[in-house]
Amino acid sequence: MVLKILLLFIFSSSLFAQNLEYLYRMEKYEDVVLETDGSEETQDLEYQALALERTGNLNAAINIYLKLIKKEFAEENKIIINAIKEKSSTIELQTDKTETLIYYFGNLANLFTKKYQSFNRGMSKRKLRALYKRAYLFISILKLIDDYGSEADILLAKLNKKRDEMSAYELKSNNYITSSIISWQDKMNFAYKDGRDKSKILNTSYGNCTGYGKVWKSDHREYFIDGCFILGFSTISKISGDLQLSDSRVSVTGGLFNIGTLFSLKSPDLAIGPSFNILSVKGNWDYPDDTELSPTQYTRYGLTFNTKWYLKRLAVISSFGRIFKNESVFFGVGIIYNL
Amino acid sequence: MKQLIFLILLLACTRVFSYPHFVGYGYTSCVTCHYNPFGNGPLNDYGRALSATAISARWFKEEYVSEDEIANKSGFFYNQPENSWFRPSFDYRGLLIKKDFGRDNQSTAYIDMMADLNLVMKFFSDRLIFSGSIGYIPTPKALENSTDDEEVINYISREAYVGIRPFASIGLYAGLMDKVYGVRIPEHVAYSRSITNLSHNDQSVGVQIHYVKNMFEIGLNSFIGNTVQDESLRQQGNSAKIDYLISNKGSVGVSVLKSKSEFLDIYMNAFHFKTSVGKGTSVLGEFGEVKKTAVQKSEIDTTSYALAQANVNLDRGIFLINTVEYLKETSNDFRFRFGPGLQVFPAQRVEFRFDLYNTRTFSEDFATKDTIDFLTQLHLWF
Repeated sequence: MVLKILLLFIFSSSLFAQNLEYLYRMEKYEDVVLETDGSEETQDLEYQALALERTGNLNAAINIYLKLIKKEFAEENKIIINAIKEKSSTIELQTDKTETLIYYFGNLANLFTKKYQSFNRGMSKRKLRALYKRAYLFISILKLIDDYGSEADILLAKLNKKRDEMSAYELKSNNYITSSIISWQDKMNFAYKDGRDKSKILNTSYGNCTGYGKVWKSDHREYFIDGCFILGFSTISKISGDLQLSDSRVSVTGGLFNIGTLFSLKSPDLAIGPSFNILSVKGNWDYPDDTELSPTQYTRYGLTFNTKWYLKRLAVISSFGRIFKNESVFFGVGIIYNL
Repeated sequence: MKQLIFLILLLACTRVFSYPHFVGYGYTSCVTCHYNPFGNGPLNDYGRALSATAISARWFKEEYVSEDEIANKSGFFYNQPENSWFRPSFDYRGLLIKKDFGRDNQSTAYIDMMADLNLVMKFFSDRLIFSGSIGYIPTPKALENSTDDEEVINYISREAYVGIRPFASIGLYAGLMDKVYGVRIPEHVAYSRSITNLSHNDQSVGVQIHYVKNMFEIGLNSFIGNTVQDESLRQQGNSAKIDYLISNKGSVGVSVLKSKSEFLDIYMNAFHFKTSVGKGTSVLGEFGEVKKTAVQKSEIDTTSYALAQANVNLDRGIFLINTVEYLKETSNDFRFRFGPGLQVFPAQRVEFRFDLYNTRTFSEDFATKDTIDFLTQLHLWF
């Protein structure tokens, strides 16, 4: 009777395992999970883990393998942990089921790598670092075991590739000094004080703008904010009509504030993008006593399009755009030195 | 004004269709894509295939059409070459220019800038090349309504030479060609092209040696002027260009040219570079000085110029071009020009360009209004 029951059990277990294999091969992963739900049998759990992995439930699959290792290989697990702690270069496992244990470790290394690869830019850095460590741990275990070094290297390459990709999106801050040649044009009001005549007068200015800034940069994008002090010259002239004025190389001082974002489309070395600007300038023009010139001082806003070319710590930048209410365009060409 | 428009049109006209900014694809030397090793003139088979498969967009191609199929149809009028020696091509450029763009006095003109028929005959695995072109040039605006009996010539040959290339590394070329100097950017309105007299119609008869090996590309040119010019005006002299290649990333180099005619001596030199900054994306520049001496007066006019251009590949077939130029002539006045532009290749054989040129003059005496021109260009080649 006992023999009959035993044979029936073996036969039914075998049939059940065959059924799981059939379902798995037919890619009916949900059915495999349902069939094995609640089971503590090693083979059922193995199928369940594989099916969970296929359905994208990586955490659940990982938990099953960890449970299996604890259940079946508690002693070996201790030896491995010690070997890792002692930074051994190889390990000899004394078990008659070595292949099974390596299979579990291999799957864990693979699952953790997959999980790390599936992370996107929204994840916290702390979580990412923790996950990298765990994936790295299981890959290291694989590396400790002879004959599995090459598989471990492949996984490690995948892991590091993802880490580098994530790092390329990481914004790193940096301070810089900047010096540019800038130029702008505006129209000023020129009139007799008694109001008998008035006209618009064109003013062309250029100068050096030296300052300091901060950039938050990844390989794909950057945000920057900087300010610089302007020392420049201005030429105004109107030589037609009754009301005439000409004054050149007039000293102009002021400040320029920029805040913007740039995008690196093909290489982190070249970035383009817009910035918002505030230009504040003051000039000391000479004009007859019975006339007035305005504004000799103003603060205006603008938008520019920027191109930045990085040459290691040095960068060349050009800006082209509009300061609103000004005449024509604003532009600048300069260099940046990243500190 | 009309003459000015015409001048700009003439300067803006260009006939190259493989540009130096393609260094962004790793092509440091023009000889890879052109029969003429210094660029300009017709593309060779490889250049045509490259322009079809890597440069031009696939907007009008079905997904299933392979790049090989596109390359195979990159020959003359969509055909695969039937032989190895006969390569005709046709090239058209039209330009719509809006001068004083956005202002009350804005003026618009459309010009058929060129329509060139090129013929290349090549033998012995491209070791012997004959290249020639005949093309249309528009009647100058100033002569359109002229009642003078002066004959207006509407055709021009910009290339007629024979090239012998016994080894891949060295070639000897003789005939009518562009002079060897600087970076041949397509914008002939650029100071680096116009101030140096290396513009659209400034070819010269001469002999050129091209040498490329290891890290160096060297060009030597001896020229006697353009024979259609009056003899007294022909500039005769020599030029040289040396580029040091930085792997497939780009090159840095120097150029020098010395020539003279009965009236004018010219000496000029330049430093230039071009470098790849990511796929299809590049930065190039040229900084030079031109000294022109009027022979009879012994007066030297010295002009300095600088050009920097960033070409950003936004997507296959689309380039954002940002140009900054500087020019300082003998007086203390100087000029800056900013030229943001867009270059689009929607399909092979079709190129559109949209360029805005803002030029500001800095004078010690006057404040002058910027000149703002908007140029739209259509380029077709078959």
